[in-house]
Amino acid sequence: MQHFIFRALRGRKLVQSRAAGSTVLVAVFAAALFVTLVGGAAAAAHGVPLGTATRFAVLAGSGITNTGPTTVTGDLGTYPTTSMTGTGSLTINGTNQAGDAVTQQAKSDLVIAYKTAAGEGPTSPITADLGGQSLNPGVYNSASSIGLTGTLTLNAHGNPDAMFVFQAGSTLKTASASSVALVNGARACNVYWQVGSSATLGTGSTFRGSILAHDSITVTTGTTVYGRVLARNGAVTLDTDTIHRSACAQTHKHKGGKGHKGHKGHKGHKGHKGHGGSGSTGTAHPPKRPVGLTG
Amino acid sequence: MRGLPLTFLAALALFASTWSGPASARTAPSARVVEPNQKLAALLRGHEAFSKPNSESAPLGRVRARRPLTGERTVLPVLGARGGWLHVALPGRPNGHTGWIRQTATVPRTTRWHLVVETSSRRVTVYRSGRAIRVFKAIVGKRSTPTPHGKFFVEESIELRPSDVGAPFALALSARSTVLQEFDGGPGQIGLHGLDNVGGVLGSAVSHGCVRLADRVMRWLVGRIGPGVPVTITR
Repeated sequence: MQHFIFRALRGRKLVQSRAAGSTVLVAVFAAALFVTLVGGAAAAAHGVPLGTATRFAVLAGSGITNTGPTTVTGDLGTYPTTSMTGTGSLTINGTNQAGDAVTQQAKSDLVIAYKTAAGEGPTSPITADLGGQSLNPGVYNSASSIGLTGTLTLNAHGNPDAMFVFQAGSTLKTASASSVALVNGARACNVYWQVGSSATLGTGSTFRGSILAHDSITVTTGTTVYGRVLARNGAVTLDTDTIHRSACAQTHKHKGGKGHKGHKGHKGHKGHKGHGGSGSTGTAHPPKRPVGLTG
Repeated sequence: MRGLPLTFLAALALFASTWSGPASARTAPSARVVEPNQKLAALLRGHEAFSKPNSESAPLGRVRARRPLTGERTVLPVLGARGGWLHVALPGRPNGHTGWIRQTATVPRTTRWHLVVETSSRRVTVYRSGRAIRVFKAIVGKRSTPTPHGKFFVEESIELRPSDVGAPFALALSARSTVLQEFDGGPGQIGLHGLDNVGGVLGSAVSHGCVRLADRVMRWLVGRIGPGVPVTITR
């Protein structure tokens, strides 16, 4: 983008008269200042559209293995290898889609999402372990692996739509008891981890964000994930974990069903029953939760 | 015409801006073939849906007995039946998908209503018993967030609070946006709703995919259109 800005300015400069030279200089100076300021901060990240994979908390390519009591909030599926072991100790607050058409579509969408996340940029390089760091919204890239020992803090600076995208050329590994903390409005639903090979979350860690791994994902004992574990080709291994799919709550205010008690006046709708045939005549009901239609 | 009072002309313009008149005044809707009745199935409990009318076929997921927004009972259009199984339209993605559920724990219903949304002409035609009886101007999705085309149905009829976007009423459809996978905390669900707190000019294409109608039209619709009513969205 910066390259484009300079090219555009250069092209404009060619057609400027000398009288307009000072204007061009001001523009060039402003552009240079802009580039300097932006270059000093992390690049703005865009969202990663997960498509139908959005509903999944756990999605795998070559099977799901679970040990111990694990709770998954969100859907679960694996394809093309559809094997699942240890499902008897799984509590699924969602739907086990197995290897059905929904899973297959989600796997297809995951590939798109993975490539989108990998293509986000421009990026800010990360080389050291992320533990102890506090990062602003942006796209962060490591040509090799990403490690986390301790706590990584993601600071949204009051913007609930702030995005954080991490790109690992190879692995993502977190140490035992490590965590990803969110402050100032940062939300797990806006955090994405694109992993070039496999991800391993250490024992007893607390992880936030959606992992989009090219290969496998191993969530070791006692780990809590607020996000998704989505493996394109490999397996997902769980062990006494809690996986809670993160969905962005709506930003405008709804308070559920409160205030809807006085709807007796709508009994008047009964008068329309004669129009509708049995059962399909309309009578609107107040929502029990935020509606969130596309508007 | 010159002698007509201005107030009458203004009232006429306002009327025309929201209601295109009886469908008989328009030729296009009457050319469409809409079945006079649609069989429906109300679910008394959650059902597993399958790709074929047997439980050995591919599972398509579970259809809950009640809809998530209002808790209304789930009502699905019935497309066919075979040996104790019902071929039904299913809500959500992929758009327009269908499956088979067991007939047990369902209650048969029928509806004479059918809505047709035409995105190119930006209007909604209401059919009763196969006849077009009303045509309303609407706002449809813009180019970047189009209103999806296909055969859908009303999932839930929602009475919104005055401060809600799209108040006073919404008919949440089985359709989902082909662009927005999540929107405002929801799954990119398409609906018909009012103009309160969102606005827009009827006859335009500016929405995120939902179909916006005049408030009084929504009041008219929710008194007649309930869960399970087919909604066809075409070009």
